[in-house]
Amino acid sequence: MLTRRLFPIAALALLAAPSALAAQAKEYLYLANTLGGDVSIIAIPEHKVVGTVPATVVGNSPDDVISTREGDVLYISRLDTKDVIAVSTTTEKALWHVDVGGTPNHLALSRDQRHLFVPLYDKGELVVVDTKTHAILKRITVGTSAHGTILGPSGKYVYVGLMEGNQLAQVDVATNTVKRVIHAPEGVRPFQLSPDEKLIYAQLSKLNGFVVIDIARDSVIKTISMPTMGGPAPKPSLALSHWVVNHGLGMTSDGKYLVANASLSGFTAIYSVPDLKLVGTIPVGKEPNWVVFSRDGKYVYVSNRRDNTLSVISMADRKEVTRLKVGEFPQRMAVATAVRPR
Amino acid sequence: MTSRRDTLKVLFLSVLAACDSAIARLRGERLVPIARLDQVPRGSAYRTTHGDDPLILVNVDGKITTFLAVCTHEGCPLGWNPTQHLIRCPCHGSAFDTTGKVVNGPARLPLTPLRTITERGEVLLVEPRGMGREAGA
Repeated sequence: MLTRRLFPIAALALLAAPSALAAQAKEYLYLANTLGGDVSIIAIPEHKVVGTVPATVVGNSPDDVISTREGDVLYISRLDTKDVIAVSTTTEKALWHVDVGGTPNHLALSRDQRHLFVPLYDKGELVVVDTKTHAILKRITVGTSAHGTILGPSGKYVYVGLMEGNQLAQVDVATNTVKRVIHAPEGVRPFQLSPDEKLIYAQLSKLNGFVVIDIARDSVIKTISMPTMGGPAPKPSLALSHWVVNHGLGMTSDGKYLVANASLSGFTAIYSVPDLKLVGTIPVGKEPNWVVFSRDGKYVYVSNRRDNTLSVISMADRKEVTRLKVGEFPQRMAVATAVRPR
Repeated sequence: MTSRRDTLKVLFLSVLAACDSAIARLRGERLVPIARLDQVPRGSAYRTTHGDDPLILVNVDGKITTFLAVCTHEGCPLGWNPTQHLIRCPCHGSAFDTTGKVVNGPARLPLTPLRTITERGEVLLVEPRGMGREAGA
């Protein structure tokens, strides 16, 4: 009798469970602190540091952090141990790891999220990892110092920037083979693709600005110089402990704006696309390194690795809203809608 | 129990350190305290700064070696991996052993060692010329 009475209540509770879970899901920024070995968690849109995935879980110099679309898993490449770990955002514990046999840098996921692309700086390879079986499916030779990796908007190609090889490799995702080599005047640092996947916007090691490369023509069609803000143009030099002028380039999801860090000068700049007109400059922290956006595009986040801060910038106001203290040597970031542990 | 030989060794080393610091001072070299000895226990490393320059002190079997903690690849500040006992670069994964030698690229050049003197429980940096000023970049 009691069971019969309780059954509808239990059924209702079960039905309500997924929506209750969804109600707890919230947008967070996950920021990898490479020297700290941990990941800072920042609530969006409150912009408060609400937690840390500790070094006991991450550790070993996290280089990049990316998220699945669902926000349930983070993939983190680790420089010291030459591996990639998968971390659950629900438990904030490691799920699995894969040794990749070389120093992994910036990661990308295939559109179906089955394949994780891992560039190996010291091997010149792009490793394809099966995210279900955790097996390495293929090692693709892409060229010297494979560094940045982006899945193109079509989902057909993954692009790998070569930091010392002065070129990019366009890899066919269906066959996992290099389809095309795209040349650059010097070492390719952060880059972005135009929504039609015809152009590459790329920061180069020693250029105070970025270039626009026409993929089909394999040539630079435009070079944009960053403003100097009244000071001398920054020059890369080891004496100043820098060998890269600018690091960090992001494109809004609507493809209308490009956000470019001026790393030696300590500001970030917003350019309209496709005309590449400078529409704003925003002072940030010391040595801005990476750029990501909130899901609604209202905020852009810039990690400042030399003063251990995160700049939160309003895209509408083109102003820094707040600057947060994070972990040591913050670099790469990912935005994920996740359910955190209680 | 400390043997007579150990006591003499400690005494000898203290005299040497005192001579070292006295000579450095006579030469007009600037000695800057950068760490307390207890901050660098055996088998560990201690990171600090002098002005804008990051430093790393490593203690191998009681011998402390100090390096400019700047990667010779791209100038990034270096960290310490306590499990690997290696000095590591957070930018591109270069690794250096406790003698400053490259054990993993992309760095090709070894770390720059810095002269230090241990005196009265402190590690003193013999400041190289031009070091310790606030960088403007």
